[in-house]
Amino acid sequence: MDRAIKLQLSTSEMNYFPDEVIEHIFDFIPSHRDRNSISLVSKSWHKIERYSRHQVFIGNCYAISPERLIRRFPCLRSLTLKGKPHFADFNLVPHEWGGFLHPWIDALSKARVGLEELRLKRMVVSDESLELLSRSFVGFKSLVLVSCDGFTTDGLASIAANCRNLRELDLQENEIDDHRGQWLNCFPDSSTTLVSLNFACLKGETNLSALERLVARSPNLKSLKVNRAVPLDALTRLMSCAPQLVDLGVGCYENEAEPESFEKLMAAIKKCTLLRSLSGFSEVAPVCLTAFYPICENLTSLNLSYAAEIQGNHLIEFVQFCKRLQLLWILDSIGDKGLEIVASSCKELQELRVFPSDPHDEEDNNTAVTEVGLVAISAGCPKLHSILYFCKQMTNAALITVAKNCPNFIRFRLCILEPNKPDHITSQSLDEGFGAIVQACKGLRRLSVSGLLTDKVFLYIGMYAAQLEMLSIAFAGDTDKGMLYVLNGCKKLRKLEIRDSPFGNAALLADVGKYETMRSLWMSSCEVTLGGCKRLARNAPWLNVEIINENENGRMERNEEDEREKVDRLYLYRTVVGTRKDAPPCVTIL
Amino acid sequence: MELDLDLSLSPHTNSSNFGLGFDLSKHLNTKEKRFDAMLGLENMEEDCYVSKPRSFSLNGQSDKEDDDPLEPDSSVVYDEEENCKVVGWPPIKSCMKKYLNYRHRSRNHPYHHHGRRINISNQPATTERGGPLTSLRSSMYVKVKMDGVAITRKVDIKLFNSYESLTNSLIAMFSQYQDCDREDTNFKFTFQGKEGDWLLPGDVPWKIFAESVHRISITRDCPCPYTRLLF
Repeated sequence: MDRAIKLQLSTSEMNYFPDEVIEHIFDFIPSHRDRNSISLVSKSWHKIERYSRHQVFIGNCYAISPERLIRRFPCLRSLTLKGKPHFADFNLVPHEWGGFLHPWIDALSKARVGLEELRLKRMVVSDESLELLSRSFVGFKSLVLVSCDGFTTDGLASIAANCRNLRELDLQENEIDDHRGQWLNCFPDSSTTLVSLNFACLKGETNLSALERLVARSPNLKSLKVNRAVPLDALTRLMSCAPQLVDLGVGCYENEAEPESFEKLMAAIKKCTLLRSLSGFSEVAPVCLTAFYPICENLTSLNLSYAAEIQGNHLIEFVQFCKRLQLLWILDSIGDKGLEIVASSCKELQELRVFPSDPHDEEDNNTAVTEVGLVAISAGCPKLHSILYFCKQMTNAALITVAKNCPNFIRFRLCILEPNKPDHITSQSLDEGFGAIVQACKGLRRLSVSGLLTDKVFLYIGMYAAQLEMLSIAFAGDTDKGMLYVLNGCKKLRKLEIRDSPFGNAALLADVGKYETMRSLWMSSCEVTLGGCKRLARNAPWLNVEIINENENGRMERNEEDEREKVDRLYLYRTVVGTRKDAPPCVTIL
Repeated sequence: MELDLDLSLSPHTNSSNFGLGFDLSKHLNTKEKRFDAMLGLENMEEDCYVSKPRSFSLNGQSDKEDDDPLEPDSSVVYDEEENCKVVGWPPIKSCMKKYLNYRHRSRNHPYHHHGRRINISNQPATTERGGPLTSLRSSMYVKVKMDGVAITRKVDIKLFNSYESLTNSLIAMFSQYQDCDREDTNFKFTFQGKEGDWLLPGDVPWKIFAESVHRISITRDCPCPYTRLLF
């Protein structure tokens, strides 16, 4: 941001330079926000910035239309698009809600934009779109799909076959229909440019020989994440022909390894001296994890969140040697003891995610993590800045200690599995604990709260969380005041998502202008009524106010509309292109 | 670092009193009182919605004061086993949820032996491949219903060892009922587990699927006049 300010001050001098020079200077400013600021300085800068902008990030695909995007940034090369609201990850948004990729590809293709990279999150992607994409952009290099759905391996086949310069195909947690096609075979023999290939989320069989041949002819391959269907001996062969791998996602081994295969695997692993990141292990005997001991000291990233077969003691045995770990995603089977060992071994840790191995508390084991593990991590890992922690219990004292130990949190997400659960020692609400977090962590940008919480926690958040951009609330608060504290206090708030909390029309309508400064607001199972939403929509034409209905019949019956009727799910967002035309029957846009 | 938050709240041991008559301003320090006053919210009591007691426990019954557990505006859904489950809670992605669900069920299966997996510290010389699960049962028949075919067939799951072999055989079995070209057709297989949820091939590893599948449903999608008549 400093550079942008300095440039702003010397505009008049700078305008003596030809545009190409100014453009070259802008090249050093990649941040979207800085570039947005630059474009506001003057008309000539706006123009230069427009034509030199290559990367665009669109946080809500319905905030703008593809045509307007292309008109403003005709030299676009890299586009990031996000579709469905975040709570779609937890089945709170109907499948057909929207977020379709096709209109974007269609428009970009027609305008002959030189697209090279496409990153999508929670969008609906069809095979037709993928085919059109593969045929329209000669220089296309990189496709990253996260939590998308609507396509099959046929779509992947067209990407493989037609994108001659493909470097990256990264599929993360998508719902992909796996047909009995041979998409891996569709990479032509001349294709040697792959740098990153991730198909871990594919559920079907994989053509192993096609995969091995592809890996063998891709000398630049740095990242390879295979799916469950790749057995141990195949993995060994893959690693043997790709010792340059930096990032590896391991498949699944239904049967325990023969000692000989295990030896071969270890030998192949030893050669991968550049390996820094490991994931997968979804159906694996612990012995396979131990095969990676030779390189575990080099690891900076370890994702064992799908390794439910590996028991706590084996996890601990492995992780304690990963001294350089910066990122760790793990199941709570590691236990508090395991986290204490992580705290004493992994001094470089920056991001930790602990997922629940028993989300509905159906088993009798007591090895889940508690506040003890969280405190240990906060005490032992000075560089920790991001945490996602699922646990069964928490105390204010622990949170206050964590806040004192770790004032550097940027992301703090705590999920106590049982809604409304109080401090398990004092039986009080957790207001003070979370209050301590927001007061201590002055750079906090993302927060998720849980447990028993009153309006007071929101008073603290409104007062102290000055940098907060995203807040997730569930089963919390007592009155509209809670939501109002947040809306009034958090000046940088961009995304607010609330479920099952008693906030109603008074909070929703108090400051309509606030929503223009935010990307979106989600409220489900709250106290807002249809009448309140209608009033909001009338006073804020720049917003799309969407009501998502429960019933399958579709639109709300006109004669049954009662303004006092509570709205099941409300999703509103700012937009410059008005009401969208592709909403399904279960969505009513006011 | 000095934190000036007040830890001692008024005791709220009976959590069902929350939200009723709780005076927020009593327990704040001066700075916080000023923030509260600034927002002009002190007189909001009448307009604000005050919630009913919201405490309930996931595993037990809902709060005593809550007579009707099936409130229309609640997102608590009671499934067939009377296990109180909240929609979309806890907030974990569906792929992880599916994975953990089936790992749990396989561990609690009556035939499951805990010693099935190799433990590196006490590894016997040879270990039985595949474990006792598959060998204890000689056959396991499952109903298969294909879209547009009146008769339900039955297959023995134990005869197969992968999704691919199962789906190939099923297609072959139903081929006599088809009146559209095989190459054109896209078959969609869905499997119903014992708990009632529907999965796609590969959602769970084959072993676990083979122990818990209850029913199979096949829909097909092909450009053929017969299927057009169905819709």
